Amino acid sequence: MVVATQPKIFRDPVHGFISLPRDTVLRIVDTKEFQRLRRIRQLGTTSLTYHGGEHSRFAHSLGVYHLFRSIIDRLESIDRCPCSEEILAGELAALLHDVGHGPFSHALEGKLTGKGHEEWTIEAITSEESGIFSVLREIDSSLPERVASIIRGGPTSMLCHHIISSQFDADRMDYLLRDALATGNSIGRFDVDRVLATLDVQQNQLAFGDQYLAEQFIFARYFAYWQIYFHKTTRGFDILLQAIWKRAKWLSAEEKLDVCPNSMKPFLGDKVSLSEYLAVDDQDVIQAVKEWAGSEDKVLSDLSGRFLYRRPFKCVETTSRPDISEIAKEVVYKQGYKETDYYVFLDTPSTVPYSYYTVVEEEEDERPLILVLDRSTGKYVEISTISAAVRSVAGQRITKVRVYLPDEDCRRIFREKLK
Amino acid sequence: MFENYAEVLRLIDFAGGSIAGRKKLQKMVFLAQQRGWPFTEVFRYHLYGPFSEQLAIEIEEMKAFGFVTEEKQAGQGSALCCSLTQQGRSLLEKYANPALSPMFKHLIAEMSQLDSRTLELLATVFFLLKCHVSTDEMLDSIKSLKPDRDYTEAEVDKAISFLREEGFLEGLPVS
Repeated sequence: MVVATQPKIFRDPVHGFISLPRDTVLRIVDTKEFQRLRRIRQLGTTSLTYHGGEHSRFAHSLGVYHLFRSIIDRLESIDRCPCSEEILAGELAALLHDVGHGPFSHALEGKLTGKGHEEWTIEAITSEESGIFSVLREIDSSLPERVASIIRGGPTSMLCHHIISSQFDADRMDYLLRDALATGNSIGRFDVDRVLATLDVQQNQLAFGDQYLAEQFIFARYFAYWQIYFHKTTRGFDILLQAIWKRAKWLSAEEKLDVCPNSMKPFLGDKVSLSEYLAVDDQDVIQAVKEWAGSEDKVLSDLSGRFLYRRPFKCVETTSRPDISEIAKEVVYKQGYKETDYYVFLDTPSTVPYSYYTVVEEEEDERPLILVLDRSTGKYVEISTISAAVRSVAGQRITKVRVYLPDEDCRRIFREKLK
Repeated sequence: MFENYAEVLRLIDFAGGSIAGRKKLQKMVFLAQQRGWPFTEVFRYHLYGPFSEQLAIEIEEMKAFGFVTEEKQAGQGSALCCSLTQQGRSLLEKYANPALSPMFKHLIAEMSQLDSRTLELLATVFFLLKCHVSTDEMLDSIKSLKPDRDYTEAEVDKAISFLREEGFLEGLPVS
């Protein structure tokens, strides 16, 4: 028999046991909106590159909750904790911070609806349409707004916000560890137990207690960026999926879209309600792509088949020329791909939802910093001021341009044109 | 992909072709976006106010493509002045945006006259109003968020007036 006061235990591949109080956190986990996260892949199309990368937003959200709790335990032990009323709201904000992610996470973010996942998250927490709102209100009528305020970064809850979202936070710690494990990469790992055992709070944000731990974390993030998040094959499939959606939407506007699953039809119009949005997941998009692979529209069927049967576009990494798009379009047009808007993709780091740490270049530059204890002075400083290793990877942003072309001949001709 | 760049370039063009300082540019794009200019950049609140990592990276990319330059200018300390190049202007001509309200030309001209300290305050006040902070609580919230900046009551009042006059507060539950 389950004792109602005992927490529910989840076995997690990254953190071991994750323990959820039944009267609060577990009730949110059991809502249909949160269960939907089981069907949304954390890394979008990454499993087409690293086949193990099929883990879900559900697992990541539990992991962020667990790390938030671990951070609070550490802060309590050094008497640096936020006030007790804020802790429950913070725990729930950690759990819910990604609940507004749509199908394929970042790969289709902003494309299906024009709104980002953060806006949908706030709506899922504060709208009376949502089961999450009902449960939060039953626990405490002020909780929906307090949880939303932490996620937005409201002024009364800045520390909890920064524990969940900043340069060094529970979200990043979990996804680096989880994504490395799932994709089989060893590069995203760092000594999380020691990080948790030594961290402190400075300027209302978390700070590392040891220079070498901060370096390990920053390097883990740097290598994960290049080997997972900005991987050329994954990015190619992300953009291909966006092109499929763009074509389907254009055909729909022209009243020429021959097939589409009912659940995706609201997304072809201008407005999508919260309940319509929360009704779809990766499986609806995959079903749509399956149907579109048999469409009478040759472009839509070709692009969909490429996604479904993993026939990636060919990538060229090149320099930043302002006429690069025109050159590529001319090549693919001559090779028979007349709809050039759907057969030439350009990609640069600004389109990637992840980034790596960089340091300031001007006095007033305000990008958020990573603080670390300088043991020689006992003061907290920005990491690059004491770490030559960090300066070497964070001193300058690397700007790459990738051009994606539909086949090997196009790639070869394009390369020749660039010479 | 150049469509995103084009809107940032248009804002720099409306500001007279250059903007002195990354903070100033960040805050102007944020405020213009909040007023309805369809920028796609995602802003998050950090220690010094709303900031977009995506916009910071786009500036690096636009430099690499030759659409803008960033240089230190005499008398501006370490602030980097971001200026439109001829190639940037050519891109703008290619991606005209006739649907953009003429109101933005006036708004950007107004904001380009302000310094980065004032723009930081404007962006932060607006962010706090969206978080349901009342105008009465504003000074205390600003002081707790930005203890080093020493913003005065007069500056905060002026920021609220500016936001009201420029139409930022329409539809916001301001009390």
